[in-house]
Amino acid sequence: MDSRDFDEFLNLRDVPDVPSNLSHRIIEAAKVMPQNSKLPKLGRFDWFKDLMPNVMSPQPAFALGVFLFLAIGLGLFSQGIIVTETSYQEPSDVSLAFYVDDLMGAEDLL
Amino acid sequence: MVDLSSKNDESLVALVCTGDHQAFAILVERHTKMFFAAAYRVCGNPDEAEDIVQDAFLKLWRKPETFDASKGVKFTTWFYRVVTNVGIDAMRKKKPQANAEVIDFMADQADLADEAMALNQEKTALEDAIQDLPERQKMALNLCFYEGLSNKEAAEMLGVGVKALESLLMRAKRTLKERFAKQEEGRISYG
Repeated sequence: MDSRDFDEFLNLRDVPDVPSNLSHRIIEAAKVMPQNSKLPKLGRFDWFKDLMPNVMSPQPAFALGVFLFLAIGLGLFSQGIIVTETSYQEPSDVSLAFYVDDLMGAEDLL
Repeated sequence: MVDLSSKNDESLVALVCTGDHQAFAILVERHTKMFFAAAYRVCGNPDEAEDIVQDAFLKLWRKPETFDASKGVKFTTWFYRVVTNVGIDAMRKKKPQANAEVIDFMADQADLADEAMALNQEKTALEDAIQDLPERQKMALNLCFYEGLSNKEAAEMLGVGVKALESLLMRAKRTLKERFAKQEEGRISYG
């Protein structure tokens, strides 16, 4: 196949017709999309500025959330203390028990 | 409402930067057909081409300031690159086609007359062969042969020199010729 024939062959390539409503869909999609330049830029301490009004005059949902968080945290912490107390043993008692056992074992060997 | 339809593309993009949706709408209506064709040549699938064009235009809407007219680049040349990049990204994420599409295609083929079917098969084979080309060869072929850009414009879009572009174009055509020559030999020996 020479160059001209091959170029004619390449020209067989079809492109389908563009859907008639594609432009309309794109235009409508852009209507509900903000441009990046319009979005407010967040400063370093903006999160703090947003938080403080809620702390100083707490919204009900915010206050409830903080209360629940503290309640759950307190509940978990207090459970941990009880478990620790019941299983706690003075180190000196434990080491003394092992020492006595060691002595007994050593005498048997001698 | 001011009539913006007489403004050139670069002026319209400047208006889009100020949030002018009417200017954006004119750009879309003016160029959708052209960039749909460009997107189709990247991906070879009309549904994906629609998505690519839509994504590219919405990128333009979200960040129109990324087009810098002061650099002397035409809007269409710049936007070709955007569409191409969106298309290449989409192709890289694409999963293999389901068999259902092949089956539907073959069912459609059965309804066509023999001659029309042979022509359709040739076109399909050509499209498949072009889609299988290495990315840069495919882009060179699309830009120079199908989009009608000059070698200089196409080289700028690809970020290569003119000589490198001509080499890519030559390799693309050679690859396609070799592929079809092999297919022809196969048909003759089994025919």
